[in-house]
Amino acid sequence: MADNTNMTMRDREFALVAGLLAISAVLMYVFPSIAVENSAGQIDWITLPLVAFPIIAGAVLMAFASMQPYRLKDRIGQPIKLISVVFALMMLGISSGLLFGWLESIDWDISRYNRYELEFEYSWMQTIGVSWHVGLDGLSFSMVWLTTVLIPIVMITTWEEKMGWYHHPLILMMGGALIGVFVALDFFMFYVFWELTLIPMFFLILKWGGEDRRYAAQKFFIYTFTGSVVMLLGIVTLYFLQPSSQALIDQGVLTGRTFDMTQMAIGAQESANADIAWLGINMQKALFLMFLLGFLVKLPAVPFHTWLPDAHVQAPTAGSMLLAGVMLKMGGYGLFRVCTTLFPEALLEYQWLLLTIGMVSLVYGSFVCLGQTNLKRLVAFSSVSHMGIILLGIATMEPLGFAGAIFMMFAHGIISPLLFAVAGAFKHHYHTLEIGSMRGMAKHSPWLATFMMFGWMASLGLPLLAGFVAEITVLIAFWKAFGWWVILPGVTLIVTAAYYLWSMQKTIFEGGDDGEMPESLGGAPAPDISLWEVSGMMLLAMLTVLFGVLPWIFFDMMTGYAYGLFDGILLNVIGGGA
Amino acid sequence: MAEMMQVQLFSEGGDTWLALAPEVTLLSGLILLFIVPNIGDAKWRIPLTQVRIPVLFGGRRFAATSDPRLPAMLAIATLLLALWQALISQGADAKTWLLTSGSGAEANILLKVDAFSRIFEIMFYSALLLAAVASVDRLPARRSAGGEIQQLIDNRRQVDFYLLLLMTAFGMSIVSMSMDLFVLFIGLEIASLSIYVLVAFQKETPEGAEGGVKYFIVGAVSSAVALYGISLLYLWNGNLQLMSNSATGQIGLVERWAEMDSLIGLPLIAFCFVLVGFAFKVSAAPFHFAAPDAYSGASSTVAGILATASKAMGFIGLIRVLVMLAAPQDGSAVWMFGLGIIAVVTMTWGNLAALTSSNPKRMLAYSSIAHAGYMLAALAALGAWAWGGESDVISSSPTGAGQWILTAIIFHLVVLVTFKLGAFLVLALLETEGEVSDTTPLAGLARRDPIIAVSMFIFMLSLAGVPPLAGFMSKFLLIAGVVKMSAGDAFATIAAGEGWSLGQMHWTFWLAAAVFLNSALSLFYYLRIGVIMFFEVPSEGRRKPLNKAWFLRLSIWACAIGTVVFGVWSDHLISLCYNAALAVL
Amino acid sequence: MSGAIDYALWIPVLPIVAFPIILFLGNVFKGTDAWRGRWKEGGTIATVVMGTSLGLSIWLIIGYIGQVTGHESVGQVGNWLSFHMVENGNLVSYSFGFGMYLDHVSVMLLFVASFLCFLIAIFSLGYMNSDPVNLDRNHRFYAEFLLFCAGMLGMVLADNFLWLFIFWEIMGLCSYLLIGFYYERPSASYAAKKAFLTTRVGDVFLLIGLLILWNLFGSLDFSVVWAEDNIAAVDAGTLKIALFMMFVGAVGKSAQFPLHVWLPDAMEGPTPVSALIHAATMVNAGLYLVARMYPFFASPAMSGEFTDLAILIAWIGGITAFMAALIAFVQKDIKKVLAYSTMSQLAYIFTGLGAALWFANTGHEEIALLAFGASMFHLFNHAMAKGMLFMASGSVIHEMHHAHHEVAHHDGEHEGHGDNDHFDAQDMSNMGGLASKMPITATAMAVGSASIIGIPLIGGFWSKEGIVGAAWKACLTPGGAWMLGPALLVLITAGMTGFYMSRMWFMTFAGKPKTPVANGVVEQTPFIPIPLVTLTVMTLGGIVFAGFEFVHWVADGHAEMHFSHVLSGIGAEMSHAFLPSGEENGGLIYLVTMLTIVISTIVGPGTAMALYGGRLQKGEKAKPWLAWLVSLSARVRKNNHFDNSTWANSGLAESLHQRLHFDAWYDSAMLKIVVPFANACAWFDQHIIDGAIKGIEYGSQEGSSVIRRLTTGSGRDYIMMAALGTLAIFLLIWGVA
Repeated sequence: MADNTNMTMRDREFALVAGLLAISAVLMYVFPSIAVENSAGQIDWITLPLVAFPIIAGAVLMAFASMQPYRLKDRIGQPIKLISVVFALMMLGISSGLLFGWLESIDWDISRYNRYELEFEYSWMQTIGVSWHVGLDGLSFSMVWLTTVLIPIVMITTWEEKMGWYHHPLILMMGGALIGVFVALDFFMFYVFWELTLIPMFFLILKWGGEDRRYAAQKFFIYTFTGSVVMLLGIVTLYFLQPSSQALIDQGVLTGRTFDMTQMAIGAQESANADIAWLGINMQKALFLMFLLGFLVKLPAVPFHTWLPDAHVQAPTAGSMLLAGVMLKMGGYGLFRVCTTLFPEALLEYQWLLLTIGMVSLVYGSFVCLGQTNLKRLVAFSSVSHMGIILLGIATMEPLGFAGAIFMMFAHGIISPLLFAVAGAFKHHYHTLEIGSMRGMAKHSPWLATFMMFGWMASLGLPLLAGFVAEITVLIAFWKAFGWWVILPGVTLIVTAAYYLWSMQKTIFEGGDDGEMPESLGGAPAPDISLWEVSGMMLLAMLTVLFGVLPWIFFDMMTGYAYGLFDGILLNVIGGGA
Repeated sequence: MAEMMQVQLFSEGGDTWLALAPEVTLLSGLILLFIVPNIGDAKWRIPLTQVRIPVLFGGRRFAATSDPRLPAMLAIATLLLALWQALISQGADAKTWLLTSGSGAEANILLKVDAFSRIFEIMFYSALLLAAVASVDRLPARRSAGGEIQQLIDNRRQVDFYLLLLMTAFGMSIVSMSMDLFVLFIGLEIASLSIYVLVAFQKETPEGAEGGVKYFIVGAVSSAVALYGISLLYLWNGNLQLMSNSATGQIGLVERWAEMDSLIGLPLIAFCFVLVGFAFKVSAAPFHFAAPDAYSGASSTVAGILATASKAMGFIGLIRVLVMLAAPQDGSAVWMFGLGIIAVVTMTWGNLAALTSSNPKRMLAYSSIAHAGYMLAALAALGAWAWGGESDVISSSPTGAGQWILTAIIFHLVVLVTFKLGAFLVLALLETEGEVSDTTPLAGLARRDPIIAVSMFIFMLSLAGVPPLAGFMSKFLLIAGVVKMSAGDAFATIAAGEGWSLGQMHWTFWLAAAVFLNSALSLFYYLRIGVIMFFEVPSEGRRKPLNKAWFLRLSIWACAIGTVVFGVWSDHLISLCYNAALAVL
Repeated sequence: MSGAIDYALWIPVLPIVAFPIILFLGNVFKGTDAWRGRWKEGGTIATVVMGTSLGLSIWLIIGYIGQVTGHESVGQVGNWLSFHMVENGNLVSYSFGFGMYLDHVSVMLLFVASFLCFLIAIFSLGYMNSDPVNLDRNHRFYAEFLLFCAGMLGMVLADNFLWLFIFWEIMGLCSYLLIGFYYERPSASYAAKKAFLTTRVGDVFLLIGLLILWNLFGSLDFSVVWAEDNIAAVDAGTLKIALFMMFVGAVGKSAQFPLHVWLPDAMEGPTPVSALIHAATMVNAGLYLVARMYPFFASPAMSGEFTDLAILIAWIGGITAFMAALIAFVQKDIKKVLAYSTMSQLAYIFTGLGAALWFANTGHEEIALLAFGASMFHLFNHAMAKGMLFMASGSVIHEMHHAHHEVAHHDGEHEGHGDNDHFDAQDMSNMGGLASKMPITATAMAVGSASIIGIPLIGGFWSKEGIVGAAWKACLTPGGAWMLGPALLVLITAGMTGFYMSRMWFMTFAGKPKTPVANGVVEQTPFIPIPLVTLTVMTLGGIVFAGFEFVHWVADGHAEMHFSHVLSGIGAEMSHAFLPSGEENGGLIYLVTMLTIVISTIVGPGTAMALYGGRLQKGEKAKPWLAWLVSLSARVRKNNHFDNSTWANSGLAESLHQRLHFDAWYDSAMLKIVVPFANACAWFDQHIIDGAIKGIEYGSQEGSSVIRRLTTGSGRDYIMMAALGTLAIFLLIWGVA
């Protein structure tokens, strides 16, 4: 009987693997021939391959897994994980193909205000003027590529996570949802995906998290939801402040208005060219603040950051990698996509606000780091601190500052996953997160120690690693804009080094010839990290070096984006042409 | 818009049967439910002879007719038929009927069959249909167990239940069509009384009886108040028709109210009384107290009906009274402020109370109170329709904010059936294995039955208003309506190059803010359910997989699918609701 | 442009490429015999790579010297970052590139760096690989070593300040890693952290300085920022601030007062590291940076603007020189002595540079060039001598260790490293009389010390004379009164140098062995002699460089090296050193020069002999060129030995042992101010900010329970509530109506 079921089981596995691999292969090769083309003659690589397929595939895989009897789940686990990785690699292949021009010949370095590559628009909910409108520019493409590269790495790093048959598909869905946020050019769609990302993360924390995961998951969900609800109010208000157009009414849009960002951007640009504040400066400021709240909570910036430490400490490795790697970037992305693009006058008015919040997050965050003894809390607060740099970059109102801020998002998106992979592995192998509970990790887990040191060096902005480029560029612009305030970031650089080195000394070093094991280990020998974890971290480390040595691969793209933004609208607002 | 024809009810000329086809179906279904189970081998002996003529009525029941499942099947069939009729009579070319009580001088406009009434018919029927299908497993019909008598009792019980169900449907569809306050009241009472019984139908459990009685008492009081208000209105106007009757030259309440140059006491007092009556039906604070008891006392399916269909009934009344009766042309309704306050209190009260209630049924009850608060907020904003130059609401201009709010409310009421009723049905499924008075039955549901757990989580998220689910769409539309209303013609000002600011918004804008903050607050308890299902371990004795209650599951799945579909692709429904709204205004 | 220039990029790139390779191979083949034996755990690769780099650089240098025109800038290899800025309403495009820039200074430093890196790689083959402690982790050493070399060479070659900073930071990292090579020792890891943080403070200043500089010039390329008209265009005040900031960075890197605390602790690292990073190359980065500021001071547009900055630089130099020498008096650890001596000598160079910059800024160009050249020359000599000294001390320590193991456990086996026994192989009070036992080392030590002290005709002498002379010239020039302090300090320090360097030598090599271990020492480790001998020759050959008019050459960009002029050059140097004349107040300068020679050559060493001298054991015979020194010391001691115990036990000596309490102050500042503040922040975050969130949560829960208490469950209350509600509706609607 048992053999029988096993046989059938094995057959089923083969069927599953073969079938879904075949499907993915088909998707990969046949898709271009069946995909629609837009006016620019580009194939829609976004809608299905990058957004829909991962979500659908994840759902299907999880449904399949849930149908298996429990004792067979671990057998079905491997193929499911395999297929998830295959899909993730497909996504990576597509985005890289777009980057290097294998799929479409696109020059990402040149971008103009409100012009998008691979722009596609399908009618979705016509009655209320919602459309499925996607497109990419230098800003969003860097984020999309980041996501697609992180997803497979996360899967590899957490390959041995328990209940992988749910875990990896969840990550896959997460990826689809995140990309949906980055490609959306329609406010409704933007918001839908914005909230959609919460659900997989909620489950990641709830099912695979630490002891206090229950509280953390709910806090994470409610906190960020509250922030984005205010943003939604802003979206709706913005929507009804548009003039209703007869053309849309004839198309069956009952309100005669649209959620299309590009349309709004046109309006913003026109009024900026006419030197009048779009919607009136007061309204613009109000809307700016509504959106800003949503983005600041996500970023997160002091004082809206307290959900982050809890979420990170409780989240599993994959959860915190994605959270720090991509989800936080949604906030920064939104700031650029909405606040700088649509509300330039308000942005100028609130320069001081961004400066203050960014500065507080940066300095205060770093000092809080210095006061932490929990590894993940430390890294979480360092994220808060680094996100402050993004706000500073925007506050400078310089193209360089913008480009630097975006690159900071990108670099932090590569470095912080490494840090959290390390922290997660530490927790997993030493059963503790207390800094100073052990000594001499370098002896017992040389690989782990190496990556920990590497990650921290990268995070404190060591040259030729990705983080440095972001910091130096932002700081140059910062000096130009605010002069001697630069002392505070300077202090932060020292403090950052201080807390990283302190925890390095207390964890990796010392401990004599045979180190001190944390009592949480109960005298068991400390194993080094598994091959999976090593390879995941190795990939991240290599990326960090790559973009530290050859930053222009993406930096030019971001420079191009910033140029387009200033050329298109911001210069008029700042009072250019003098 | 199809032409409007005014005909006498059941008159030879106009085929009003067509207009009332669903109601007719319901009536015939009722009669069948009376007759069929009583068909037996009863014979009548001709006196002084041995000749026995079978009369087939009474006596020993046939196996087929005494099948306990029969009533359920009859009711389901009836509702299906009615639903189908209502559906096919939808559409742009659908006729609009004005049914009068008579011809000539004594003709009173009683019913109006139009998009509005149709969509509500559809909503009522589908809700009750789902409930009926679910109840097949809820009222276990022990076939041939305990002998004939027991079987007969079961049969009777089934018959009672489904009779009441159909009665409710009938009353509700009358409410949805009524153009005369008195008819509306009659329909309301037909529905309500049968619902009171349904609430107390679980006579085995004391909560059922208690909840039912409480609900009945408070409901009776409020209906009395409403009736008193109606009578005062009659005193004021001489008739209770809403529309003026061109044929007889009778002035309807709407016109009379409109031409009243300054508010006079009598109609206003009457209006307030009527308001109270409906406020109870939608369980607005502070008339909501009986609701949680009723919900937790009644079986979950019935509670689901309470939370969806009966609430919708109340809202129809409110819409009729507020929007038509007390609709000011200048766009500053007297009731706007008061209703706004009530709305905010209601939603906040509901959410706060739900926050710590451990009984999922009470929790859902409070959540439905909160939802009533959201819709009331939208209605309150509706009072400002003529604000900011958009006084063309009555006309069907696409920019009219009034339609938007109405559309949103109707949409919300319709999709509520999917997720609110769905949530109650999941509880019903759990009730099949024991009492559900706290969250222990939900614990670890994800392990016992992932699909049910996932659908429950979907319902919860939808209730909380998380995209891309129906609940989000409805809340989104509500907010959109309110914001549109409070923005007035700001877009015109902006287009003219002048600025705009939040301060210039109508104060109803802050109702939208209140709704949003409340929905954030509500996440607390909605998520808690999810956490309990996915996080905690099943309690002792609830380790086995759930019962295979296929009918119940069927309706749950239907609800889940509806929740998702109306969330991601609600175009058609929105346009239906929009037509309905146009029909009202 | 010679063909070498096309390969110049490989000089830094080769080591950088080798870095991961060695790490990888090391992790793979760790422990195998081949890897330990033939590959020397990566040492072979490192040596080959550094040899190649050295070859390339020498090729480059020869090609460079061969040509007449001075600066040679290899154009941008590529755009590293390109970006835009808003300049009065328009978008202007800028970019950072990477290129190489050769002038006399960089060429000189390039030679020093690649040469010493190569020698020390060889030295390490002997030193590291024969020490059981390092077994199976030498690959880490060699990899980080190579990364460091890449950083140094890259910094020297970089053609703009950004890349200078980048490589600067990389060196900092390697310094951190290599100091912490014995990470399991708390002292080492503490020292590593201290070094990184202290230099980090300086680096942040440097970074800010560069920000200001960029915003002044819109570029960081040497060719741009040094262009005369560009300098003329900028605001002097701002430029001064920028230069000051950069100078602070240099202070941190070169371990000058007040950021000097890290260098002595840095001796926790393996001796080759001390030799390379903390004596010969990295600490010179700061000097290099200051030297790179010369054009700003020399620009006529800025004439007279930066005098105070120059004087500050000189003062910092003077103070550090004096302080370090003072502390060196009491050090027992042979490497610590050398560390302080390093600080002191670097300080000399700072003083010289200060004088040079002062002259340059006050318009005395040719004296400025002389002083500048002298400083650079001293940098050169000091690098050679100090590198050699450290390697020599390393050899001593190594052999002491070895001997200790021989003595302690009576077998040659190396089980159980010296952590668990308390014998300190670096303590000079355990040594003595090694002159006969390790002749090569002793000779190297002697020559190196002589060069550092400035014994006439030996390497350092030429440059030190120039520096002291320059300082005095400066303070004698009208307006240079402020330079008096540094001048005096360096003068005194010359004598002190004489004392502590000879003290070290005599304590180590003269007299009788103070311990049985010292008695058992044998000079045996392979590879170590090679660099010692080479560098001895280099140091002694300082005179030849002097002959090449090194000073003039390195100073002004357009001079050439005339191989024909060697003798006349030597003559010129001689006269310049011994009989300075034909200048204003040449007499005084003459006096000063003589004074310097006297105190540094006679007073200092004399005192040292009197205190620490002594002849060797019976039967021991030192090499002839050392024997006379030993016996001289013995004789001096016999005749005029005096008791210094009162002084040695004085409070001053105590606080010198405490390194004048700087470390204590910094630590307490850290512990009493920063850490409490950080903890306060953490507390605030958890209890106030997050507390507010929790408060909202708690409040809503409370409100919920309150509200639910209103739901009594009795129908009467419900009806009453409904009645109240009716009333409320009436009120609300009447109120409006």
